[in-house]
Amino acid sequence: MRDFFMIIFAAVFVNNYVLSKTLGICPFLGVSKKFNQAAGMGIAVVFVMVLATAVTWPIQTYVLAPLEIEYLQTIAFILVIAALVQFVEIVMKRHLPSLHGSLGVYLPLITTNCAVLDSALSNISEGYSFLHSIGNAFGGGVGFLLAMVLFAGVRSKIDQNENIPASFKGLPITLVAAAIVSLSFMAFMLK
Amino acid sequence: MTQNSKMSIFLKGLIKENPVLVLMLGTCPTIAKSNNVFNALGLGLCTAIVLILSNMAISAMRKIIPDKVRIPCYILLIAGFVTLIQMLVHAYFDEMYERLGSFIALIVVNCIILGRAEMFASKNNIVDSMLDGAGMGLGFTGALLCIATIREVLGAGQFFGYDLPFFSTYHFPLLQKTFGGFLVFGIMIAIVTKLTAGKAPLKKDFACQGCPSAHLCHGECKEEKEVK
Amino acid sequence: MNKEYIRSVVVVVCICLVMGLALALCYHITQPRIEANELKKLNEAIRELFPASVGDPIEIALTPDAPKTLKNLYKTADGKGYVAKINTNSGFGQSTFTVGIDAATMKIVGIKCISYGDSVGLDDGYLPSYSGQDKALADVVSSASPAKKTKATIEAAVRDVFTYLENTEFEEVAQ
Repeated sequence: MRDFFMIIFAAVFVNNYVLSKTLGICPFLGVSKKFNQAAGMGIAVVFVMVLATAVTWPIQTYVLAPLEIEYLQTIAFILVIAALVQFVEIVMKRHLPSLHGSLGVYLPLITTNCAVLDSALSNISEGYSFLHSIGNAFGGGVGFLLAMVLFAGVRSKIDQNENIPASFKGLPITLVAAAIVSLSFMAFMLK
Repeated sequence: MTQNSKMSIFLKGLIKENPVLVLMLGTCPTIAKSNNVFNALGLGLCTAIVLILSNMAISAMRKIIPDKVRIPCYILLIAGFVTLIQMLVHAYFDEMYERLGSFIALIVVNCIILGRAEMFASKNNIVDSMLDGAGMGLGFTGALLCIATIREVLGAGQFFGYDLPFFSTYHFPLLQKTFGGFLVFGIMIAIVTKLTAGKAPLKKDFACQGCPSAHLCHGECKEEKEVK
Repeated sequence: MNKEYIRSVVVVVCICLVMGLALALCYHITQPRIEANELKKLNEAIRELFPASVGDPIEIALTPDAPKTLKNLYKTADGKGYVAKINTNSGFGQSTFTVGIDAATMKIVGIKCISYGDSVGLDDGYLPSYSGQDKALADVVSSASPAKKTKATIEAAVRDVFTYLENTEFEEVAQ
């Protein structure tokens, strides 16, 4: 059980997807303008990441590995994630319309989010058990959510600032701000 | 089509519509693997090869693939080519495989590839798609190399792993970390904005045009799409 | 509508089959080379630990009760030493080491890191201090810089190798 919490902690802070591994940058920069949107996207990522791992881990362990077709891993995983996202969206639309209203728009964007694919792949390459994989995926998602929410706060200040040079306006200053926010996670980076 | 327009398809990916610095695609690997020139070159070339192959395959099959399942089909083809390249790199360039790690597999979700499939290869013939893939791939490699050179020279005092006389004593190791990735990338975009002010169709903000899933996101990005 | 549906499925299945076949073909071409590369790397690591040993090491088949961290076990060609490949994960990241153990004295000859994804400071006297230790690992530098959890994980894995070596009868696999 201690290992489980250790893995979650490490995934949230030490191996933070956005600020340490620099994966999932597109939504991090694209959907962090407003706090609500950032939080919505983050929660959707947590949801999909855990679900994707819950499906891909058994596929790897009980289908790909026994048949010795591990080389189909990437194809299988990305297809499973794409199908899963579509499926979740349809189910959510029909049965949980209110939740779909707040999270639904972000779900399709997650299909091509590299953080989700990386979390599914790294759980296999790190040799985690099923429970540990779920912990790692959950932690990864929460780390993403944390980075999104923190950065949304920073961005609201930048967007109000009038003194930014013309050529830095928009994306460049956002990236420079992201660089400074990533410094705050350096304390956790052990390597 | 004339010789001239073929050339322009190839050249636009290099500078005018550079995927990284102008279209803002493929930011994740750009930031993560631009810490030294070796990684940048390896990842850039792998991506370029996958892009050329997938563009050609998708263009060849653009009339067969039904519109409704085109995204899964593209993803399948791209993932297949990525796995092929991954196996070949593992077998013949072992050192590069170890250094790039999971980023070779993550080429699958690099927006440049799905983006070009959706924006170009699904509408153009094989030769044009191949040229577009080559131009975009080399543009990606070039941008990655620029950022990597700055980060390796100023951050580690080296170039391609060899120590440089002045910089090896005075360098700024933080540039090798994630911090440097974001910072140098941001400054590069600012420089490109300054140089091309008014000339290039530069997107000042991080919009959804480049995102291959844009059409799926139910109007969230609709405004930007209509402007385009 | 129905016709279009069938066509979509047929196209997706066809692409799957073609890609699957292409990958299977590529796998069979590249796999021997990848395995040869792995063996070469292993041989180099073993040669550093036991410079006197000539020839390929002999792999020992692991019994089901082998510790989880122990991935492969080899005996050098001259039979004077064991080499264990261990894989540790402290939660911060995964690392792989080869541990050389002298068969006669049951002491560690050396420990080499193959890949390391854990907390920083492994080489600041920590790994070198394993050389010459026996099962107790009494003189391993405990104040060295890697995180506590990292050190405990590596030490536990090394101890497990000793316990396993002492308590198990091996069958050597002919290569």
